[in-house]
Amino acid sequence: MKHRTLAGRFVAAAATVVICAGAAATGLGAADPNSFNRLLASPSERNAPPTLDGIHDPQNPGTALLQSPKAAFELLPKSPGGNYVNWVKAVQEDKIQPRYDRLDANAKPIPLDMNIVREVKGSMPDVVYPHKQHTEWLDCANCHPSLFVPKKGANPISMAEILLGQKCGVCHGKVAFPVTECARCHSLPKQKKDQQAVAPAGK
Amino acid sequence: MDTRRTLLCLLGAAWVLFPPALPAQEVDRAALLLQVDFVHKLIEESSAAKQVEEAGIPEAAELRATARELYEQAQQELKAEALPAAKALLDSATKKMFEAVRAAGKDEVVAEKRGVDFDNRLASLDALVKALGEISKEKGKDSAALLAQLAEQRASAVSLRTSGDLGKARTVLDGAYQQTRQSIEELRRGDTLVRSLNFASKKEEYAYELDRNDTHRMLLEVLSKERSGEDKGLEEMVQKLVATANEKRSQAEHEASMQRFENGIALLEEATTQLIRALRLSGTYIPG
Amino acid sequence: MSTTSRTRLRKTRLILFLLLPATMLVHAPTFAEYGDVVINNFSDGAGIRPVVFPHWFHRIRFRCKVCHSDLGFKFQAGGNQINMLKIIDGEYCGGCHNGEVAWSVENCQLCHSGATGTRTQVHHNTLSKLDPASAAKAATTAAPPEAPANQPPAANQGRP
Ligand code: HEC
Ligand code: HEC
Ligand code: HEC
Ligand code: HEC
Ligand code: HEC
Ligand code: HEC
Repeated sequence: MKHRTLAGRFVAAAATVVICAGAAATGLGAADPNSFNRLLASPSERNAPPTLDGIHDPQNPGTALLQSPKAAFELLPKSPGGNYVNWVKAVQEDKIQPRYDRLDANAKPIPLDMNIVREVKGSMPDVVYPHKQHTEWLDCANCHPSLFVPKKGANPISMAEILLGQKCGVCHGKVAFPVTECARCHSLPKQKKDQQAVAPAGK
Repeated sequence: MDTRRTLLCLLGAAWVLFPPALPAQEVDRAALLLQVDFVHKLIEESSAAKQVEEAGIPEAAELRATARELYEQAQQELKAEALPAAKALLDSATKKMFEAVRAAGKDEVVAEKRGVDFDNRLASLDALVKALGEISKEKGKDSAALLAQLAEQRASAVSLRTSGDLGKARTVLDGAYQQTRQSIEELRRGDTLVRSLNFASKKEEYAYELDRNDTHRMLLEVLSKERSGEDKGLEEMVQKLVATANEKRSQAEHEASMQRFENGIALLEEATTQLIRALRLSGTYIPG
Repeated sequence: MSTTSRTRLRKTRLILFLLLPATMLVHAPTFAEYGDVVINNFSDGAGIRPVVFPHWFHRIRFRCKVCHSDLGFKFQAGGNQINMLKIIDGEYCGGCHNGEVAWSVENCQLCHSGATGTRTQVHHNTLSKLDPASAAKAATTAAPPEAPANQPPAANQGRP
């Protein structure tokens, strides 16, 4: 008897899920030409729970046990794209304490405080690559030498390659903040650069 | 879908799946049937099962036989509708199979991966040590002793590896790696390095401009995917700009093929300017 | 960048552009979380649900370095050829899902939670906006056409 009610519950759960997914889909399809945000993805489409996200199988008993990203992100600083979380700030503000070592919860990274400015020809602001934010998360060996040779002049990078998932695009546009957040990389406007004292070391 | 509806749906789903009164030990039938299938695959079909078969180690084969027995018993309990008992047996069968896999020896699988990991770390050490040498020179710091010590550690790690002691080799290698990274950190702390643009030749500048042109084209493509709405008038204007850009670009390519890179550069710049306009029209901020 | 890799890049781009109009029609939105990786090298074939690996969940708990340096996960969806043997032996996911750092391997259905037939990929990646088909190909082939260049490139593109 009990089992039958349980099985019944599953059917009901699956039905709820289908209905919700359907509602989500129609919500997307019927675009109101005068909607307030025409281009911005609506918040209800963000951080969907595993049962509704289209890649998990809602029929799988384990799926409902998984955490919804929305619940986890509630307390984290926001950003306009990707997970809609600013992970740099989340760590800086001690909102999360991701381990640096698999077992030792107290191990701390020693970040490398070194910026690389890459001038661009056009009117876009120059790109500042900060080692500091990266070495908070990553090991030197993640990038050197497989993605970048630690040597002046050895790394031609173009935005096209980044969009194709190479160079910076190995992470940005996949796991780290997406390429649509231009200003976080193109952060040094042309005029300001002349005033800023930069060490001549890299020239 | 609006937020309220989403919430209602979620609440509904949560209530159906986790009704407040559900006792903790209750075994979910659907989950149990799934587990039966999983355990069967684990024991009979998975890469783990194959490993136990191929290893030919009697102890591992015995453990697997025990796992099979437990699995059969679980099937019996299931038929008798004794779900908690069936679940307990399936859990034990899984654990026994894990033991079997471990008894079958993991040396080969693990050693191969550790070898690859070692080689990657070695490549990284080499790149960083080279950089350390150059940075020392630039900063006028005598690092000869340090570099010699690092070279020694490296050699020792490699010879340990060759003699088969991968674990110790990795420890020595990691020591050198940490030392190198720390030394770079001390020398470079607070530095800002500028990679400025100086083209050695017009041909090189032309290649750069080609990349820039591709870049803008692809930006247009990606950013238009970010938009959800359709605007016919805007789309037409964008298409017109893109068409002009294409024309200029093929002219540029023709010039370059005649070795007139200067002209090629100028034409590419014009082509890219059209694309920048298109980008701005479709809402991307590009200054200038 | 060396001349050959430049030519290759150019070819990839050409193919991308030729495919674009066709793929725009089949561009179906999913609500997957950014960075979710579906791993399905073997699962469909083995008759089980594919694996969904949530980056967001794990990066709240670990730095990238723990997995991508210490545990040796390559930056490539499907590229590590993970299977249950390796996991039970304590490699890859098994480095943590061992009952000590995190719940153990018995919980098959927590990892094998994907919709059957979902292909190996990292969700919402930029490449998929250019061309979903080649994004999938780049994710599943062991050696991508644009493998990261270990050797210093021949032409330095204006950065001597
Ligand atoms: C560096 C350690 C580590 C590695 C490696 C790892 N995990 Fe995890 N994983 C965790 C921890 C810790 C949790 C949280 C456990 C808990 O809730 O008790 C977790 C939880 C999960 C969850 C549940 C998320 C939720 O919503 O609760 C899934 C699914 C998962 N891991 C899948 C995987 C897969 C698949 C792999 C391998 C491709 C993997 N993990 C590798 C540490 C790891
Ligand atoms: C996310 C990728 C990434 C990580 C992680 C990273 N780097 Fe870098 N590194 C770069 C990039 C990009 C450059 C600039 C390449 C260029 O423009 O030529 C660079 C340049 C360098 C240089 C050359 C600077 C010079 O003297 O000209 C050194 C040295 C260096 N990195 C050391 C390190 C060390 C040590 C670590 C670890 C603490 C590290 N990097 C971690 C990406 C990375
Ligand atoms: C190996 C992965 C990886 C690569 C390669 C990489 N990044 Fe990052 N980057 C990250 C991660 C992780 C963060 C932390 C923020 C996040 O995850 O969104 C980050 C953060 C940043 C930030 C800090 C933003 C802020 O708000 O402070 C900048 C700027 C940046 N990256 C630029 C670059 C550039 C430019 C390149 C190429 C030269 C690059 N990154 C290559 C992983 C990477
Ligand atoms: C992850 C960091 C990153 C993000 C995000 C990013 N860029 Fe770039 N961009 C770069 C790098 C690195 C270069 C190459 C600089 C060089 O030549 O060394 C570049 C180059 C460019 C160029 C070519 C430079 C020129 O001379 O005109 C353009 C245009 C450009 N980016 C536009 C954009 C736009 C628009 C966005 C947002 C949609 C964006 N970028 C987002 C890192 C980034
Ligand atoms: C920590 C996450 C995780 C857990 C828990 C897990 N798996 Fe897997 N499993 C994976 C990953 C990752 C793959 C590779 C998937 C692919 O490429 O299709 C895989 C692949 C498989 C495969 C096909 C490849 C092979 O090894 O034969 C089978 C069968 C399998 N799992 C069965 C199981 C069973 C049975 C259980 C429970 C006892 C289980 N898995 C638990 C992560 C997990
Ligand atoms: C708990 C382990 C874990 C952590 C922590 C982790 N990753 Fe991953 N990452 C994985 C796994 C597993 C894969 C998929 C590998 C596979 O399918 O073989 C992956 C794949 C990737 C890929 C490849 C995507 C593709 O196909 O192009 C990138 C890029 C990546 N991770 C970046 C990051 C960054 C950046 C961080 C830190 C912010 C991070 N990862 C943290 C486990 C992890």
